[in-house]
Amino acid sequence: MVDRDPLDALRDAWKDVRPPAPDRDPATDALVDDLSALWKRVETPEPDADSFRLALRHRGTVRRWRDRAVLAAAASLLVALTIVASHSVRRAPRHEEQLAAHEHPAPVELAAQLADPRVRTLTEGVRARTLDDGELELRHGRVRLVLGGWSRTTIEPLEPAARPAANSEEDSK
Amino acid sequence: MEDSQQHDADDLAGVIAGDPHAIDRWYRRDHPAVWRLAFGLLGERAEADDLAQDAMLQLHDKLTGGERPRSYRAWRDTLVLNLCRDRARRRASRRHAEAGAGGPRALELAPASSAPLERSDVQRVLRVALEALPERERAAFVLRELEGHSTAHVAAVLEIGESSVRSLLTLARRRLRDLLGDRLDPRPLAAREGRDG
Repeated sequence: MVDRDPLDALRDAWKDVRPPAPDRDPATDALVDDLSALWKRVETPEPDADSFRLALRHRGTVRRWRDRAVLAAAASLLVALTIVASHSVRRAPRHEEQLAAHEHPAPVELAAQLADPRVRTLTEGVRARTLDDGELELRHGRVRLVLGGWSRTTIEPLEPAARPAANSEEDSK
Repeated sequence: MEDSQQHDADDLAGVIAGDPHAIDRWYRRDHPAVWRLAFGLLGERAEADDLAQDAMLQLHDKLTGGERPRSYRAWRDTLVLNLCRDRARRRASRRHAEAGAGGPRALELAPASSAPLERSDVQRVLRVALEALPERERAAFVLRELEGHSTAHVAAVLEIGESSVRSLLTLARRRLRDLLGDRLDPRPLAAREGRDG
């Protein structure tokens, strides 16, 4: 004779448990009905799709300008880092020449001689490309800057062998 | 329900793709529901106007930013609920700082047996009644009893079980009955005031 599992009795009792009925009585039902009737009288404003479209457009514009500003700032930072890195090796007399070369950065333009449309020349000597994982890489001279959000941005020196030659087509992948 | 889910999916695909007509359709369809939920939770038209616009912009950003909710309408209402919660808490801190905290205001109504309620009274009555409810009871009551959503939908929005939703509703009804008691005419308002356009 097999003893019944004591848990089976509990399981059977559990099946019979019913949650308490909601606290419904005629007075409360009537009150809720009255409130519901009032609710139906609330006038919902007509959706203003025009304002919404304008708001979307404004946000898009703000984001585009903010992205350009961030990109320009990153390029300037990269140039500055390259100058600092060069200055630490060579003597100061070269410094003024470098500053003059980067004083007026060229506007954003496509590098027509390169096949990869992802590569753009931001300022003279600064080359940018979008990496496969969505990060942005900027290179100038011996410095490489990778923009991948605040927690993934890195700055690293390039080994002489890894430095891109001028107008190389290494970015095509 | 299946038709509305299909419309949801079609319009959402258009919103994500940036189709301006789909964005318009989606906005016109969803804004009223978002506004009503905001009004129920915040109690003031101006606040509901602001919050509904903000919520629609955030919904758009999240959809175009890659979010793909399993149940769009529950996800939408959850976002609205969270925004309302934040705003209500900021407002409560501000009011508490400005004046001493007190109990629920006394409900003053026009004589129940004669003059019909003005539209402004309608909003006032609702606001006072709903403000008497704690946050979660209010959300459950607005979604289930006033907006007519299913218990399952309310459970998904509040991220609780259906039995918890029923408990919240029981508590809300009891609290409203204790507050309002017989202060609202038990006859249906429409019959007493006559059908108004």
